[in-house]
Amino acid sequence: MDDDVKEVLAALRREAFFWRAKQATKDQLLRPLEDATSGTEREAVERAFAASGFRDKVKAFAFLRLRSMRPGTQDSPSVDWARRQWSELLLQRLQKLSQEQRQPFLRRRPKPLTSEDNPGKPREEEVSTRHIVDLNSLYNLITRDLRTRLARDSSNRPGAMPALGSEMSGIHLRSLEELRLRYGELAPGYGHLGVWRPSNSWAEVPELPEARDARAEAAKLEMKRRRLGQKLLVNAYPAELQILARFGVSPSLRREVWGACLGAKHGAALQEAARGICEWEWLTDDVLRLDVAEHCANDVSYFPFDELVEALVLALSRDPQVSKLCESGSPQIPIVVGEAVAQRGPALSEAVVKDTAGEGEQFLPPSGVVPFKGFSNYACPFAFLSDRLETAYPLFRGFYCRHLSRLHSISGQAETLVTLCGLFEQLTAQAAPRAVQHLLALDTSPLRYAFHWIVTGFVGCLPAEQILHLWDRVLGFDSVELVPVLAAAVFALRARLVLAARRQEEVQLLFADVSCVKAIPLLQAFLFGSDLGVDPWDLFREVNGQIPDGRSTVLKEHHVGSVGFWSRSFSASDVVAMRRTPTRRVIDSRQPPEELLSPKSTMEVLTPKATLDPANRRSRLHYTCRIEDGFSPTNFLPSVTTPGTKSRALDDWRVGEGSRIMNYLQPKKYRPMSLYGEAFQGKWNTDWHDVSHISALRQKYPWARESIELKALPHPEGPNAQEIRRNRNFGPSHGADKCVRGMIRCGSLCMIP
Amino acid sequence: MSDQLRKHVGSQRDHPPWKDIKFRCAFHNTIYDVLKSRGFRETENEMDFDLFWCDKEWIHEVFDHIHLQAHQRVNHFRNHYELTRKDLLVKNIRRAQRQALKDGQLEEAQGFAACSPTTFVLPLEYSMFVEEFKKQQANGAIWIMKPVGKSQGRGIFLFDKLSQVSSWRQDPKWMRIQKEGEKPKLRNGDEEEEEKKEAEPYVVQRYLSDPLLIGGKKFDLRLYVLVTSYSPLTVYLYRSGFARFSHARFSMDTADLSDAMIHLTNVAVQKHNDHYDEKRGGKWDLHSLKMHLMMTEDPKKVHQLFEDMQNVILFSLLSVQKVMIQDKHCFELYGYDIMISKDFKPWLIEVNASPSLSANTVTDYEMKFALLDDVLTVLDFEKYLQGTEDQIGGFDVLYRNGVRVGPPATAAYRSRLGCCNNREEQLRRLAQHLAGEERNRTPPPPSAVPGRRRR
Repeated sequence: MDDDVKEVLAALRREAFFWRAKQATKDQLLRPLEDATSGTEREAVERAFAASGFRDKVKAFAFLRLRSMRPGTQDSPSVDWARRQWSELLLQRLQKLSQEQRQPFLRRRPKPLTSEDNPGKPREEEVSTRHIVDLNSLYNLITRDLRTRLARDSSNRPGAMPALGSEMSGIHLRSLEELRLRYGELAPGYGHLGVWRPSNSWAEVPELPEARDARAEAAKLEMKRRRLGQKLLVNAYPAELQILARFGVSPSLRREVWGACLGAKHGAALQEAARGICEWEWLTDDVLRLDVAEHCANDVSYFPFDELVEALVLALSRDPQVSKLCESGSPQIPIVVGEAVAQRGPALSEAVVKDTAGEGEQFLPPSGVVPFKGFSNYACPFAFLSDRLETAYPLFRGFYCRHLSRLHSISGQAETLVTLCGLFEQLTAQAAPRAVQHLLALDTSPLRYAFHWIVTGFVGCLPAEQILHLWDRVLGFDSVELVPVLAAAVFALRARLVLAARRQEEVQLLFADVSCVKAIPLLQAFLFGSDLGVDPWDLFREVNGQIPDGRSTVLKEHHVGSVGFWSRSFSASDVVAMRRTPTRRVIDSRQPPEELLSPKSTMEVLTPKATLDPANRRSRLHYTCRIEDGFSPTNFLPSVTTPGTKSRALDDWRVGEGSRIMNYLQPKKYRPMSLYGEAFQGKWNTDWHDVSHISALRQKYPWARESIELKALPHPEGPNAQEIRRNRNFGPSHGADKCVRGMIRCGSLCMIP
Repeated sequence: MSDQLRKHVGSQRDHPPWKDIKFRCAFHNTIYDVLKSRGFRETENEMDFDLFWCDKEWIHEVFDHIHLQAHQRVNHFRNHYELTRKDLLVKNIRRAQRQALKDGQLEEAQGFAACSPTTFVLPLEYSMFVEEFKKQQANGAIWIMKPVGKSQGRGIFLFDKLSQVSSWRQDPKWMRIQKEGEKPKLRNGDEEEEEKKEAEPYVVQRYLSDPLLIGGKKFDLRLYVLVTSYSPLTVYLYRSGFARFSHARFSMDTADLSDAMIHLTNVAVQKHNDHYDEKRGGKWDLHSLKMHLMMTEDPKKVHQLFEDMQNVILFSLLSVQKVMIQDKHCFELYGYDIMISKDFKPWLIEVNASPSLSANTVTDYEMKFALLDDVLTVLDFEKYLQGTEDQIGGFDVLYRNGVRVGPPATAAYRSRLGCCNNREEQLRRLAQHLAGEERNRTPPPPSAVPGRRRR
């Protein structure tokens, strides 16, 4: 802690305003005061410091500085491997693109763009380019390749696929309970902007009185929040403003509040980037332009801002500070172009994946982040914050570096892509286990549909207003965890429909359009619905303004009541499981009971091994399975045979009951014989005598075989009296030559088994 | 979305009322879909209809010669051109303004004056225009010429020198070719004679050289207004609407004056742009616009702007109220074109009596479908409503029985325009309310008595 303080102090000393603040404090102290007598010297200094007017600034600076000094975690080797893999893939694709386009990574613009260069008209020349990489390959890398690798590395659990996140980097994923605590302020008891739409504030329309009250309340709340926000902005202290943002920011204050929270300053970087754009041309520029044209310019709510968004994205890609500023480290291992390229920009396309750039070397592109398809989505909502590039860019850069970069960075840090995906998987498995299993049986997974929600932070999937509300909370809670939580909530919202889907395409269709989702109410319903002891989705409907008729009064008490009023009953997954099936099966739970899993099952332990029955008098259950150990339909890895592992009933519980091969239930055709068994009692002839001469005879005279076979099947001792009676009409004497369905044919006899 | 009304109110009635409603429709676009989806019956009969969604020609040619029954409705007023023709609108507004001044109602006069920029009707007021032009020339004012009878941006041009206009005026041959090449559709018997005497009527307006730009582009707004009667004046304003964007970045360079892509936002013009994208159609939801303005500008100013827009609509309708021939069979759905200048003042550009009802995108279709559905709900063929509702679907009452209907004085929001369109929820609530009223008023019909259910 002391080290932190020292470091913050050292950073403060480098700032000019610190010395000015010191000077001002000194001046204050020297000024004669009326009540100079009261208090100690330290208090006097404190008072003077407060009066100097610099306190808020110093406080804000220290807060931001402390924030940036959070300790990181160590990467695990397999995540490191994926990180490098990703960068190498990018480099490879870039080189290919460069060859196709006949364009070097960096070149001087043949004709520098000037500001007079027909600003009104759209660009004339048609540039044809393509995306470097799309989200699909990122998805494959994260799920398939990384998992395979991980499974190969750690051979302790050969049967199951490793879960994303926790097992990889050792980072603890929050469970639903912990999320509830962490995001307690999201609970419906608090006043939230973005829950009631404030546009319906006054209404003479005949409507239910409670709805009218709530509406009027929402308008009042909005006013109250705006006033509060304005008060807080006077001496902007980021910590306070972040708490404000947890409950939603009034739209007119959003720009200032975000700016203060992010500590965004107008920098010279933008100027430099603008100059760079006019003179130099990176290979990625056209790719970014294409991306903007495809995503921003095609979106119903963002298309007027395509030029602004283009400028934002290009400026970000030119900003050399981005990779340093990103809080979870650079989103990828940057690609460094050699000195020669940076100097002259020749037709060389030499580059290496390297972590640091040396003297005269540069990242490609300077920000170190190679854009994937859909990258420009990040910039779109910022067009709603400001029309001007100068004000929008610091916000964009700040927000990108703090939060958005985490959404696509592969690293072992907390709250990066891998852990976010892991969190999503864990939450969906907890909240909608049956739907997850159903998808697995369809050979897909929930993450496949939610992946682009997570990576783009829902931009392009939700309307702009909802995104801003969501990002308010992301900023306020200082965590992007809410993005996968919302994704899981959307999945859970549609879980019932998922269960009805029969093909992958149908599932795809289900999740293709989620634009009707209201982000904050859904989050509340997901996180706190079960805490209220009501059906979470009823709550969601209620919050959305659709009041179920009979229950509205009951709900209202919960709704406006204080936090302490709630009674804890069941978790979300409990509610779901209880509703779907009357009796809860083991297979419905997130984690099957320990004793049903190999290799150390209780059953094994309880089974007497050797000592109790030295003469082997009692037959013991043997669960030798006939299929190779470690086999499971989801596991395509070469199996690692470990002696002593036996597959158990619930080893493959993830796959779902339907697709499990029930090898543990199927009896064997052969049995160990014991003298105390039925053979001892002389049931079968062959138990007593050597009958090999009889079989030799049968071999010799095949015509005699029929009756023997008849006798032998299905019971060697021949049909018993009941069977004979049952089958009396089906003997060959009645002409029953054909085998009727449902019967067994034994030689010339048709039998009802 | 009359389903809610049907479910709640209609279930108490014996016979579904919508099955008896017959319509004719001259168009085969969204309106036809809406009429069909409500369950109305289409009829081929010339005269036996409850609702005829006709084109303007029919009104001019047929309407005067027929007699309609009390229940029959037609979607145009007989002399709607008083409002929708640019020159007549200007004339009417100016007259109303004079009248208001004479009566000493200064505020009202200002309201009328604020409706549209300085405008002259050309062949008649040429000398007045020249005087004004010379006065303004020092400011570098730019003027815009619009032909009176044409739509979709045809024949519009910008100029900043008088010579550009005078040459146009003294070239009758060019004029004639132009005139014969595309005959103006809107033409009455006596109007035609007038036109023969005059040169082709044009309106010249001070061009709005500093429009509000979003993302560097110019836009105008299309709002929908439903007038069900002119005396007493009853006006409904639709909450949604859209902003149409020009494709290119806006600039006031003189070299660009002839570039239609920059200055005209009509979809018909923008469609010819190479980069025109079919999918989004350059239309931006009014709600998005309001949200964006709220975030980037002072919210007070934005609220004031939307209130002003409402005023412009209302004053333009008030100015023609006296002139318009009231007919209880008629109603009209207007498409208002409004532009916003940099100082957050709305300017009325034009009023369309038959706004385009064909949609070019899915969202556009949904929006227009909802709009027309609400129009039919307001017209209330099924006799569900009581006539005192302040909001019906997406429509808010603006003016009823000669009284302006507005928010309470303490309300934070002065106008519902551009607010979130909560029409479905509102209709549901309205239906529940009406059903309750109906239940209270009348004893339950025999069919509702349990145990004796009648088919």
